[in-house]
Amino acid sequence: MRIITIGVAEQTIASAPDKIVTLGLGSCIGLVLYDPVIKKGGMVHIMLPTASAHSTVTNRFKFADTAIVDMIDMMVKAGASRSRLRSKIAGGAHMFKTSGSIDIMNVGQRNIAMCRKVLDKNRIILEGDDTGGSSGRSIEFCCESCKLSIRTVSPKTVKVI
Amino acid sequence: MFNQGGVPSDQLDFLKELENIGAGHAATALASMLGHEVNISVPRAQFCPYEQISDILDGPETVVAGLLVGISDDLDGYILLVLKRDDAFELTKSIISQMGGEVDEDGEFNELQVSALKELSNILIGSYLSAISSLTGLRIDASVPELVLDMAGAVLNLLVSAYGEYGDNVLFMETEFVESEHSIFGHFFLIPDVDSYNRLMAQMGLA
Repeated sequence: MRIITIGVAEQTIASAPDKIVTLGLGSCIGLVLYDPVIKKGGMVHIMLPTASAHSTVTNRFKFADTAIVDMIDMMVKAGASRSRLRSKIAGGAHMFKTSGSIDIMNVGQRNIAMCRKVLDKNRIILEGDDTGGSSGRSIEFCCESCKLSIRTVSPKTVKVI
Repeated sequence: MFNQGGVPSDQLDFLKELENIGAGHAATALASMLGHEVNISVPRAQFCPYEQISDILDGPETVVAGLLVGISDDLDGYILLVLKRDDAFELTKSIISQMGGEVDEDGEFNELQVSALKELSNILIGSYLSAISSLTGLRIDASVPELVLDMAGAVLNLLVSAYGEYGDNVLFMETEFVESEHSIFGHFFLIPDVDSYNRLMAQMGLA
């Protein structure tokens, strides 16, 4: 069994018995797409809901809208059935309450909303969701069981969805 | 600016100078709070890719104390001060015992330590801001600091959210404070909005 760790704006696809991990999600989202029959899963670490007009898009996995569409294609190319694809998401926390001139304080909520919208538009069922709140999260997806475990450090909790 | 290729070297030199003066003031303030000498190391200022940011703090799961201050007026944005949790704990212990107070030995932050930490960040960030103000002539107002104790990756998501739209780099400054036998790394992140950054550089003739 391999444990594959992905960083910010990175993605990977793996098969049972492998596990995929991403650490320290704040307002970012860890999104998993999986096919429970062939036990294959993909994870992407999303930063922002969508690219804005002044963005130069160098990495499509930074943004929820483009990341999800690309992940669906990649999963299908890797042998997953389009109609069996399911999703789980975690993250989108609101870490600081201080408001300021840069509109970054509700990025978490906007990330969650965009993920749900894009999944819905692509008719992918969201099987599990641990989002919002004000705690950072580390997540691990097990391709064998299709379970996503979520760990927080303040307060110390572990949750499985 | 925040994309690959980074900024002109004269802008980076200016930011280092800013860090140097700001940290110098901060060390003096810290020394008077602790009642003994505090030395500072050569400061660092750089633009680095966001995926490397949490490595500076030993990885995204390291528990850190993040203190966030909103800045406004001539310069808009935020300043984020990040200390490793254990460093923050030791530092507040020294401050409180200096004042004749006591710290619980269970390793959890008590109320007194939380206020000491906020006061500390007020002083450090205040010294830093007054250095920027006096160098540039820009007026800067600061909000009350907000403390978050959580994973480094999650705390630093703020930077990624602020600049992720523009490119793949964030501005990062670091100073090491050496306080008696302890060495404490204070990581300051100056997070101006992009217009403010340009204003700052224009003011210094570096645009």
